[in-house]
Order: sequence, then C-alpha cells, then structure tokens
Amino acid sequence: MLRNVPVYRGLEVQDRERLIDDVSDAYTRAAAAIRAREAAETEDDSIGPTSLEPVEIPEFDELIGIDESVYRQINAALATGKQHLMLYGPPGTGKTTLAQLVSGVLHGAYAMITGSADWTSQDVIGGYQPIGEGNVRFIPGVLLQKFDRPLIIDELNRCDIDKVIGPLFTVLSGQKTTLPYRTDVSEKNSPAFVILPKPKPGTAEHEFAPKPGWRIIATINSIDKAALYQMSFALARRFGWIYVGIPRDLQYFLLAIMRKSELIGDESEPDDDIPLTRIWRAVNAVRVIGPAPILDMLKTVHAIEPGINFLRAPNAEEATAYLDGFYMYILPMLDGILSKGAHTIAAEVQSALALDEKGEESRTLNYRLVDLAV
Amino acid sequence: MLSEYDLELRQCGSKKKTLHDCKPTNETTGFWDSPTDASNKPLRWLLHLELVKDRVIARVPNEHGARRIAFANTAQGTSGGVTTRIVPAIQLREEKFVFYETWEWLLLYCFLPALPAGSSGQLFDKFDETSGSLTYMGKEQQYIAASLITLQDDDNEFSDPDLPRAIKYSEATEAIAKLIHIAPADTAPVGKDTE
Repeated sequence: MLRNVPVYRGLEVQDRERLIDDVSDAYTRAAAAIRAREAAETEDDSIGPTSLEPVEIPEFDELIGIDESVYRQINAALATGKQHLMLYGPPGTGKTTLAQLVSGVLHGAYAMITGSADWTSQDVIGGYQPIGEGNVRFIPGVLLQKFDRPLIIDELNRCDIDKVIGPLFTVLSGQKTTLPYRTDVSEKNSPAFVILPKPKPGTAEHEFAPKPGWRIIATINSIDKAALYQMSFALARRFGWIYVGIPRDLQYFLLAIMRKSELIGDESEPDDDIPLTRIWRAVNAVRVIGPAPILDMLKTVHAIEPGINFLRAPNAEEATAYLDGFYMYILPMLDGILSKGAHTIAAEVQSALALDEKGEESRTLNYRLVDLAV
Repeated sequence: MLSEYDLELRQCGSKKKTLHDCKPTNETTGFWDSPTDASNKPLRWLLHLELVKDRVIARVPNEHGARRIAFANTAQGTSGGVTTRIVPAIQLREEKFVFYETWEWLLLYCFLPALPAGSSGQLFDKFDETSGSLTYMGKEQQYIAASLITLQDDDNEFSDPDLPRAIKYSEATEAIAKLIHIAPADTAPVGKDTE
C-alpha cells in the first residue's frame, strides 16, 4: 500500500525501540507470508504432513517380528525432538522397510539412497560438474535436491561416512556450513553456497535450507562393527539410535509366519523346536541374522517341496530343499565366521535335517561352512 | 534481529565521514560536481530543500544519477537491510545551494528474502518518490519496510541571510517524509505518519 515513509527520531530512545519493534514485526510478517506460500506450494506437490507435527508411529502389520521396544524408542526420539534416526541391527531385521514406513507416516514421501564405497561428497551434497562449452556449475547432490523430505540412507556404513556427509556435520550441529563452491565460478566474489541447519523462509539463490519435513533416517548393519565405529562420536550423537533386533521368540515368530502364509494349520503347535527354528538358533549363536534371509529360505524350501510339513524332521528330498535354501540365503551371511562356529552350525543343521553324518550332503555342508570361516 | 534470518545490514557511505570525503559538490546545481562519476557509487543521497511561500519543500534534484539512492556490497547474497545517508542541499536563491551536513537522515530499506547476490557495488537505482519503487540489478526490487530516521534535534535550525527565515530540522524532516512514498511488499512498519 502506497504511503509516506514513516519517521523515527533516532535521538529518542522510545522512537528507536519503536523502530526496532516495527521493523522486527515487518520481518516476522514477511517470513510468515513466505512460509505460507511455501506451504501452499508443498501442498500442491501432494507432500504429506511435515515431520514437525506430532505424529505417533504405529506398529506396522507389514513388519512381523519387530519388537515393541523399537516403536517405543522411535516415538520417544520423535517426541523429544530428535530429528535424525539411526536404525541399526543385524541384517534382515526389517530396518530398511521400517525406515520407509516411518518416513511414509512422517511425511508421505521420501528419498532413498543406498550406501556405496564409491560414494563421494559430490553424490550426496553436490559439486562442480561440466555443463558444456567448457563451463562448470555446482550441481546439488541427492540430499540438497530432496531437502524437503526424509532422506533414507540405507546401509550407511558401506560408505566412507566422514567423507560423504562430513560437510553436514556442522549442519547437524545446528550451524550453517559453507560449501567450497561459488554460485558463479567465473566470479571470484560471488557467494559460496551454504547449507542452513533449519528451515528459512525465502532462501537466497546460494542458500540451501531444509524444509520442515527433512530428516535423515539411516540404517546400519551391525555385523560390520568395524564400519559402525567409523562414525565419530560427534556425528553419532546427532542421531537417535534404535536397535532393530531379531524376534525374541524365534519359534513363535516362524509359526506365526507359516500360519499367515497358510503353510501350516491354525491348530498346529509343536512341542519342540521345528527344523527351521533349530537352524536359525544355531546360526544366531555364531552370528545374529534377522528374519528376512530365514523367510527367503522358507519360501525356497516350499517352492522346491510344496507339500512339505515344516513342523517335523524332513525326509531326504526335503532335507535337500532345506539345504538349497540354506546355501542360497544363509550361507552368504556367514562369511568370516570363526572355524569353531562353522563346525557348530554344521553339526546343528545336520541334526535338525536328520542328515547322515558320513553322507555326501553332510560333508558338503561342513566343507562349505568351513570354507567361509577364518 | 537480522541475524535471526541470516541477514546482514549494508550501510551505504558509512566509511566516508563527511561530504568532503566523498566527491566534490557543486553549489550552483546543488548536486555532485561530476554527476556521472559521483552517482556511479553514490555515497550520499542528495536532496534539495527549498523554502517556498514560508513552507519547506523537498525534491529530488533534476540531475543525472539523482535517483540512484545507494549502492551496497551484496555479493554474499545475505543483504536484508540497506541504509543510505541523506544530505540536504538547501536552496538559498536561484543557482545557489548550500550543503548543510549538520543535518542528515538515514533511509532504511528492509528485504526478505535477502537481495539476490550482486556485485561489491550494486546500485539501487531509478527511485520513484511518487510510487515508492526502485530497481536493483535492473529489476524492480520489492522491500518489506522502509523508514526515515532522523539524526538531529527537531528544533535545530538552519539560517542564512539569503533566506527570509530560519528553517527547523523538523520542517525539513516533514518535507522529506512528504516527498518519499513507500510501497512495501508484505508489511510496513507503523511509524509516525506525516500525512
């Protein structure tokens, strides 16, 4: 609205305070207007609720065997304002699916990348890239391109964490960080790109500010403990760490899955551990693995022997099907176990499948397990 | 206040204490001696004051570069506020002005989002006192607030034998506030309106 410029008497304390109040009010209102515009744009993009809104993460029916403590801890982390989550635990426990489902509840959309040893900061944060005719320009990485929604970094420990998300350390600590890239490469005085730690209405061209929905949800496979500890304490404490372990009762979990898949009847309740439970328990005694590879093994056995009764010891053909599933999905998870552990697993699998101790299949099983051992 | 928004204030001409430190002025035109040179990076915004029928009026000089009100280093893209120093050239008679530096005003413009990153001497140009518009980097630049800040006692007087009477600083302030219109984009400070 057109009006005369308002006057403030600079020598009078009251007028100076009035000036500060009025200008501050102008910034507040302008910021609110920008936020409202941005919110409207976000709605147009059909993005779900922002993660700043209080949201209760429900227990997901799709994920069987996730301990209730996982949901309890996730909700506690969110309720206490922890922005970033780290889901860690053995392979195959549903960490990735859980990260996707949590992101879906929080925001309705997410970006997901899988850690790789080849990753550089350029892939995640961004960097100069040629744009033709001998020119280069800063091209934002996946994180800055999708700064409005949760970013799932699956298997974070597979990349060089410090190198790849090092530039984010400062941002995760609540400070802005300046990237070593200018908006105009040819102009030495042009501003460098900066990443702001929190949403800012009306960002400048050189600024990247997260939208309220942004957060990192990373997964780490705890088998590789050496990689796990590559993360510095400074970075680690920016995350809420949630351990996603294996089901507490393996037999109960497997029977529930089998009933749900109609592989066994509702009334079936064996007194002793079924073969699959024994195998899983033996493997866990050496190296803990989650349900996913076990379920893959289960499906494989059923595909080979559709009429199999999973509740009793297998016959020779069925034992071969078990071994096929074991070799396909369990064995690859056991690389690097100790020799003693390999023998222990071999003996228990042999017993659970009622294999002939001196038979060809027992020798092969033993050989293949020991071959993986160190 | 600005730091809350990661913004900074640019103070045009703050490093030059006096008009003499800036560029030579011309008492005949009431403007810079070399308008093209001086308005390239205007260290002061010069306005004319005249006593007409016992009333003080203010006007923008009819000179090249008179509507270039300020320049600032906006290369970092963090400029959220710009001040410019207004110095009056008081007209005593035809082709006779006096630059009265005892009187100054600050004109403050506020921006959110920050001004687009420009050069180390980016001009604020084509100020239109009737519409409140101004340009920056060749485009009309919106602002969220503008304020005129006085820096002298209201009762301070300027007198000269060529003038029929003394002029008070408050009269000059009122004349300048009547001259400068503003059109903030989203909001405006509620200051003392002179109309």
